[in-house]
Amino acid sequence: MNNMLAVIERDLQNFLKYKYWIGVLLLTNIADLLIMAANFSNLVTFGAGTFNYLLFFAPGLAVLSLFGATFIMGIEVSGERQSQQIYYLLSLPIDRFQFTVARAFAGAIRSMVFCIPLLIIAFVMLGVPSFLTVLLIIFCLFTLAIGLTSLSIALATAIMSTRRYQLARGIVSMYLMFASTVFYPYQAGGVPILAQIPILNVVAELNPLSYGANLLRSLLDPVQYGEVQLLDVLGLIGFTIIMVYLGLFFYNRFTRIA
Amino acid sequence: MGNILNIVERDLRRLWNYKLFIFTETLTFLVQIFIYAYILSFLIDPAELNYTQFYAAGVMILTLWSFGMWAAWEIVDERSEGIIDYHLTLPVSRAEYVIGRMIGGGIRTLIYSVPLIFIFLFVTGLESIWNLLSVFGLLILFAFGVTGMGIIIGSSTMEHSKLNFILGLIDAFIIRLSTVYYPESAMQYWMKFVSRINPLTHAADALRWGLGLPNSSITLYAILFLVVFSIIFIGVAIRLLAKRMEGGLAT
Repeated sequence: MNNMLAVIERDLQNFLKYKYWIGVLLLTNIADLLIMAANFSNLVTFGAGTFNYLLFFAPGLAVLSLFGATFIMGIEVSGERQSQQIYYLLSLPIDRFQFTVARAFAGAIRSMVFCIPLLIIAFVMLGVPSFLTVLLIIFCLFTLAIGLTSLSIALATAIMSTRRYQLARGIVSMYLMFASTVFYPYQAGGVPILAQIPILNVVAELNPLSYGANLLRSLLDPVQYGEVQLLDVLGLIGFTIIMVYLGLFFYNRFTRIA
Repeated sequence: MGNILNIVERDLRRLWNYKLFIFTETLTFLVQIFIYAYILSFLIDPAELNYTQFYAAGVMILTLWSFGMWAAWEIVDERSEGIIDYHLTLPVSRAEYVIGRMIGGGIRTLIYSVPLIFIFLFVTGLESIWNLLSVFGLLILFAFGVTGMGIIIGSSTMEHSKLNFILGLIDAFIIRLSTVYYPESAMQYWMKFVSRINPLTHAADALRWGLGLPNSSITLYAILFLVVFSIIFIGVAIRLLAKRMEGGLAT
């Protein structure tokens, strides 16, 4: 347990190394919401005043920021491989399983810290929820963050070539962002939006960012976005379990190769 | 003149050195138009605005912007790897070197953009070829101006993390406070003001006018703004890079 805490502590300290990146990411996210979504909202005619794009996008952006921060862990692991720091880490008296799980936890904690300002903005815009709902939201986002961090670790360790890793990261990021309900609703007021695009409508339902965004919206405003759907809950849990397993598998395989 | 051409040739020979960057930019371009903008267009009354077409023109300008700004990464890479030090040992004057890099970078941006222009024209259609050709010169100048801006930013730092921060900051505000993603009518007053002094706004509006998209116009102010922006940034980039290179690049 102490070993795991040491790994988590190291990763949390390392997070500060990315202060420029974190700053830019946070500023970009805030600009996305307060400038881009606010302006786009003025163009939206859908729903005849009942659909507010700015309010719709706020929870989605919190999930998007969480995703952005989780992928920093993958970049870090890839960097450790390139700089061969991995050899030093492997020489430490830490069990591989504990090491990998601790890294996934550390990534999730870092992402949560990063996500909090945007979550607070979403609370302010959609109304501050009850204490129990806040706990549920944090639990959902933390679960998602563990899954996404594990995904980023799996990508960074499954693909040995740095160029190919960058390419895979770009493609996976694009899929997660644009084939999800982060930017657009699956359907609103019974009118299909994303749901009317063939293939994408299926892909979007298999997207962890969709699960996170849908859950967050339903928890924050059940009247507008409906009650929590079982598919989103099961999807989120299933995704996280699979990704933690894949993260462990590929990290373990990678450390053996290393 | 021969030296300038040699530098340009060198830049063009390295046209496909950044395959990953080109592929990612192209993919982003396609996804943004055919997925992101297309789906968002369902939220807007098509009688008021064809958002996919509007957005496609904006993304085309953003792509020119990204390819031009790539010069910043290239300069930082070459400075930190000592490649510029090697170039300085060549029998080429500073001015020739910088002008050659600028022209090479600008031409590369245009070559990267040509396939995307055809895809983009497929989405937007074209009302009059003459209108488009008349703004084409302006957009080429804009591409050179952005390359100049990239060179200025790249010359100001040697650290990738700082460059990332500066470019991120510029992207976060300059892009969002322009008419790339939405028309000026959707903006609040202070944003409209910033948008009017933003080169991306004028480039995007000029392209939309060139394509004949509904409710698009081009003003003398926009033309003058783009010309002045480009000339200033090209001029400053040439002077700054030549000055920074003088006496080596050790920090």
